[in-house]
Amino acid sequence: MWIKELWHKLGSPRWFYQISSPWIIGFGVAALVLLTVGVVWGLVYAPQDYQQGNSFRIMYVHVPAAMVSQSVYLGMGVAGFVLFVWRMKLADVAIAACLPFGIMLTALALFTGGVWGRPTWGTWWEWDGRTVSTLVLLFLYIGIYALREAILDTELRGRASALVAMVGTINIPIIKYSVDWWSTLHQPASITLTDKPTMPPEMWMPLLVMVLGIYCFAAHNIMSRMRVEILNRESKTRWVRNLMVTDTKPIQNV
Amino acid sequence: MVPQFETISEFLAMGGHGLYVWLSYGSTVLVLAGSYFSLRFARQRQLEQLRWQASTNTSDQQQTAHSPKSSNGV
Amino acid sequence: MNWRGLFTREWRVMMRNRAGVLNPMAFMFLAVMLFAVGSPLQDESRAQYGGAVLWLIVLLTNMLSLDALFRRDYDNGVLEQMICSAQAPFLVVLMRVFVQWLGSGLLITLLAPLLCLFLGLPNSAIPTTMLALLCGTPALSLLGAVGAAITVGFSRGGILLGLLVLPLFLPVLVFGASAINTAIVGDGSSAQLFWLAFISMVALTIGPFATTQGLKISLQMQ
Repeated sequence: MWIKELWHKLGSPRWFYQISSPWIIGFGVAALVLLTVGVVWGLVYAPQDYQQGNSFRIMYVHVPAAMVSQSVYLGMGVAGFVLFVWRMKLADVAIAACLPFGIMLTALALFTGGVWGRPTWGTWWEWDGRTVSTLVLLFLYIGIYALREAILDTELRGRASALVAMVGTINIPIIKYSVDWWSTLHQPASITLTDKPTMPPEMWMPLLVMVLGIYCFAAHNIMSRMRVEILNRESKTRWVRNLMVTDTKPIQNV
Repeated sequence: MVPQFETISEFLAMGGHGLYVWLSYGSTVLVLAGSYFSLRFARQRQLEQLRWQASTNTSDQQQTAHSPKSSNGV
Repeated sequence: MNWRGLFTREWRVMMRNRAGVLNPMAFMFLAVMLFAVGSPLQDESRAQYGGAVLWLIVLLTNMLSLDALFRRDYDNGVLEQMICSAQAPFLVVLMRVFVQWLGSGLLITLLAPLLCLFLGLPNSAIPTTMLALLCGTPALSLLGAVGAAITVGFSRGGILLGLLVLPLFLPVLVFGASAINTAIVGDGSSAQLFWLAFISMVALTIGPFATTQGLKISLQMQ
């Protein structure tokens, strides 16, 4: 079974290090193209919103950041599950790589949300449902980050943060629902997977491009951070030393 | 697909919402570029250090070509 | 060890260490007093905030009592014996959390009429408040125990415990405060109570397992 083989290979950081380079370049190029197209399309070609005017163009950076920050946390929860059940080293590397990027992206989503709220609702900060969900997400991230800072042993640090990430992931639906309970001001979700979007295509197409672009950027960033993390941890092993010494072709700085 | 703005100044003003639009796009660029370049620098430092470590730890025949300054791709 | 043996032992441990129960309760009434003094005296709107303030204080009180949940046994090595020797460490942990809930959640529920009186909540809201506390506080103990288990290895785990656990308490605060607020207005709040019970059920399914795993991690840190 090829799946089983792949699973065993995934356990080895060395294998990931060796195969990840083309993927990182691919995701990086895709992110660059998609984000450039998306930003130009969203800023210049997308029609104005009849109510919000041009301030709705903030959506093209706010919504992708908010979406991807949630996905990154979800990915961390899945990595935590994998680490807990199969003790896969690579999963801990993934958690470590997801954390800083996720925190930055969540903070960005909050900031752009506030900037968008000023012309739309007339206030920089509104305790609206999705604001609170995003803020809770940021605190969940920060909790795991603080926990990882506090534990010195690598293996225990991984397992503790995996446990917290799993519990957090299970709780996220409940938190979101409870926060929606009293949410009022925000408009309904822009892109949903099941419903037809309420926006015309010339408005949501650039959003789709931006979302894909941020996803690619996230993949690029997280995978390259994983490579740095792997080299840090395995710096004493033979394969890293051999890689540094015998490799005649320059190692890509991705 | 027609551009929504006739002039550059109109584009920059964003119909009076220029501050908010550019603030959020600017912060996004800042965050994305920041996370890209900080990682790139970390990676370069790490490679330099690891190559230097490797060149001091391994046998003599490989030692000369790999001082931290002269290695490729750094 | 059977259920009754487990329970009596945990109960005795709690009774021997009464400060672990009484100090958080003292903190709770102190916090209520500080709120009452800090808020404008003759304000009708105080009742509107009452539900939220009550739940906030309950969350903090519970967090304080959680900090001591495993610490003593962790420091003197009893915990290691308990987790390693028990046939089902899961049950040991569940029983300990249950007894902790008796000393925090249930006690707060019984003291709720007093809290309502101090916070200026109408008498008509007391039954709903007590039901909401009864349904919601198990979730606080069960989810909080996970955080307590993971942070027990740190000498100053308190602030980290709050950081890990308080975001998870948010749904309980939302539904609990909402239940009290609708009761003050005079509407039925069964939906919120069902939600609180549901959250406690979810916490019951994941909490003891995660707590056991967290304790195992902390024991290796020693």
